Amino acid sequence: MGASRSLVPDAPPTAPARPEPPRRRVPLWRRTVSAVVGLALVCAAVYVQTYVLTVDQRRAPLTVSGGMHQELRTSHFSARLERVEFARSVRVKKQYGTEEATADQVFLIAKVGLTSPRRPLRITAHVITADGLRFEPTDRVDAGATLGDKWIQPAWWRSGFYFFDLPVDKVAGARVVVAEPATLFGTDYMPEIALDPGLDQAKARQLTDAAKDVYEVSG
Amino acid sequence: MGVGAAFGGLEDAPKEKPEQLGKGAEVDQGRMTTLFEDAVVRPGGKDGLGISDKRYLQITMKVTNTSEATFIAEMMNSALVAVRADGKPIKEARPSATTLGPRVVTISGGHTYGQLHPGVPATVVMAFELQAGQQAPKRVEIDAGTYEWHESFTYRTHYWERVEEQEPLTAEDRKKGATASYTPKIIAQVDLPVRVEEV
Repeated sequence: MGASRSLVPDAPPTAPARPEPPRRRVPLWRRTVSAVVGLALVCAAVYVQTYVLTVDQRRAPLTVSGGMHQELRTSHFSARLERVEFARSVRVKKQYGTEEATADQVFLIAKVGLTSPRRPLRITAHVITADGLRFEPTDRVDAGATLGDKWIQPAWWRSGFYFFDLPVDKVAGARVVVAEPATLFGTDYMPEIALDPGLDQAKARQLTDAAKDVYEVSG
Repeated sequence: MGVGAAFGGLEDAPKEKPEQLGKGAEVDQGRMTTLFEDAVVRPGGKDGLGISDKRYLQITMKVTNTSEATFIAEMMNSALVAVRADGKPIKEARPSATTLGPRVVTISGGHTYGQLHPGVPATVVMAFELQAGQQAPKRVEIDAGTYEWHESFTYRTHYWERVEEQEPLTAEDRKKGATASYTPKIIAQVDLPVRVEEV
């Protein structure tokens, strides 16, 4: 009995309870400052919510933008805009005969160079006009003559054309956007490259007025 | 109960009747505006549409894409929900698997193409092949549907969708075990006289 008692250490004597210090009153000016700071934080939190992306924005591709001749890089592919020309019709020369395509208004012909760092890719293009309309490449020009129909091989630069049938008044401010073709269910955070030929009103008018009657390409 | 009676009882309100229109009418279908120009029965070959030893009923429209992006002319196949020739359906709201349906193309400079670019009016032809010896119809009636910029309930994303309305279940639907039945909303019915063009 005595041994077991010696094994259990005696509980240390509890310190005598110290008398509580008298509560200090927070001065009024500090309480006011805390209230103002708190309110400001709440307002800031609400304001920051206006920067939250909508679902449509969150699902949009990640865009890299640049001008003429600039080599623009994404993790999936690189692109550069080599030339932009205008024509009223396009003649595609094939092995057996030619195919002529006439524009409803004017063809924007974008010569684009593309390369891929890792795997062979196909790259489609579309035009976004200054007011946000999206034009797919025209189906009047045979797809075989366009770069959209070709494979982009890793480590090689490949140049080719994309053709767009645009209304003359939509040319100013139009950008050519290249991207991998959309998959059935869509993938988030896919890269795209927006190539801006830098066409202001005056330049757009000058170029469309001087549009070639026939533009020849081989298909 | 008095209030209910005053507002016509608890029955569903009678459906709004679609607008009745004729040749030359323009219909705003949300995603596009469509001007109904003509309906002709003619042999194939004109503007590169069809083959010359067959006859086609061709409905010609001027369609302007009022959306923000290019779409294909085939879209008019769903925008014009149903077509009847002399009261007999030649294109149904719920198509059966036995017909491929009409061919829909845009026409420019004697060629057929397939795109409608935003804000650019284009001539669209919807062509039905007639059987050998089949009489040309006198009139066609077209049901025009409508599109809305729809928000997905699950993902909150937006896309164009044809407006549909819930219909009372038919005996056939019940037999299939369906719990709801939807049909495209018709906003206008266009009645066109059919011309016959020989070569």
